[in-house]
Amino acid sequence: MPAAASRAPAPSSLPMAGGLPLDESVADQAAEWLTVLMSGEASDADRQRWQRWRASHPDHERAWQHIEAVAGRLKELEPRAGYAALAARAAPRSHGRRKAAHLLLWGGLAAGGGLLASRSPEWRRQMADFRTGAGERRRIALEDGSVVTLNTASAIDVRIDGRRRVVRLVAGEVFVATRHAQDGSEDARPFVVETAEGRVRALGTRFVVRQWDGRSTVAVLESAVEITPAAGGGRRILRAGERASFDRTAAGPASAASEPDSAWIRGQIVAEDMPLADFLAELGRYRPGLVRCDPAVAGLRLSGVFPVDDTGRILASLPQVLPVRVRRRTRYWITVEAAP
Amino acid sequence: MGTTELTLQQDIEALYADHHGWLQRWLQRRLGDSFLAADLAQDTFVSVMRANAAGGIRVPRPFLATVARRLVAHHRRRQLLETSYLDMLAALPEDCAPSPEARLQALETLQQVDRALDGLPPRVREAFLLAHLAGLSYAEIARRLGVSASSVKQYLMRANRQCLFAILA
Repeated sequence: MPAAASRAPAPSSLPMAGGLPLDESVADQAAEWLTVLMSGEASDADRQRWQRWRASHPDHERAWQHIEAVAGRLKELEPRAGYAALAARAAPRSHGRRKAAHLLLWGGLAAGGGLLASRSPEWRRQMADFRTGAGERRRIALEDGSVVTLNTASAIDVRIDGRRRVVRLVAGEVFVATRHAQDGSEDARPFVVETAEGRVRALGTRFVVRQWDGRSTVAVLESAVEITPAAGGGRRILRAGERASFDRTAAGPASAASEPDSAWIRGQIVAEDMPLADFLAELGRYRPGLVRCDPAVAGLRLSGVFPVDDTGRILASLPQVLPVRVRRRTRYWITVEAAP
Repeated sequence: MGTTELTLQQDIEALYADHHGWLQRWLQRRLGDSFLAADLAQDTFVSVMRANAAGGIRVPRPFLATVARRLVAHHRRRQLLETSYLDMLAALPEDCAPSPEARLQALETLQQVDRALDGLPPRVREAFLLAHLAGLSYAEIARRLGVSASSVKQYLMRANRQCLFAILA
């Protein structure tokens, strides 16, 4: 350990290949060839030039052997975990656009503000009081008698003191049934769910809050809630049967809450004429892996009630209802594309 | 052993004798872990010795504290990296999970990649990870980063150059 800690940082050191220093210009050329070949746009002529380059000097071949060996080492990393760990390293300095990129990547898992996509860095999720993995659902009885249910890939912190009851939604989605909603008893302490965009105050109620990237949504099943955007935009009261989205500055207009908002509590995804891309993003939240949708089939629509406890089966059944095929690059990397 | 080396040796010994106890207590207060504090105190002196810096120090304790702070930051970074990785692995189903040996190997690779990418701008780093780990096309990377395809090529050229030749094969 001491050696690693005090070793000179890599960027300033000489390029190395096969344990020996390599000429800077050869390293440049090798990196350039790799970049060309990885682009998928290399022509046959490019590949012939690359082969000639390799053969033209032993150092060139040594540099290339090194690159292949390192590529082999990179493959030893579980790609999603490796990405999560290494990308999170830069996260504290990152801003909106990069986070948005994070969110899109790994499809559904990210869509719920899950492992990779939480607005807060990965460690915040790790440190959360309660959390769920992909595909997991968890019901938690809080000390004040309220009950919360965490959806897949979600995390909350809970702070209950003499003055207030606060559930901080770090990632994902939570269903809250306050004590009042269950037995009608009164508790003078306000019950609040905080998201990255603001606060949702329960007015004796059952409701669902979901953290997306850069916005939150609330759907009210019973009684009402009050939304207060973090940057002090106008408050909005939302009543039973309504849903609304809010960002840091304002809450959007209320619309009718629908079956899909709360179906997950029963372990279901309800699709009502849903674009395939959205459906797969939703499905992906429940799987520890990447589900990608080929843009060519993204607009296909489907309807139905799907039990999330067996997402593999849902994927397997897609070709029966839509002109698609499901291609498995690895167990945890699935692409849905047009049927041949 | 030449005179210069002899002096260096004496300098480091004096430095160690005068300040090691203090440094270890200082680290212990910061870290709340006496084993880790002892390790990092040791590392601090090793680091000073390697840099042959022991002789020229005028105010030893602030200097040692600076070196130690850097080592603490390194340590935390390594820890966070490993925790993130293992945590994510734990979220994978059992049959996808690698063997313990593969896992150790992966952690070592992870450290090397992290160190090799150190200092690259966030987008260059991101482009590298998207290309090598997520296997995305350049067009997709460009879209996700909100830059042109030719920028992606430049990012990757730079990241490939810096990173791949800093990793031991």
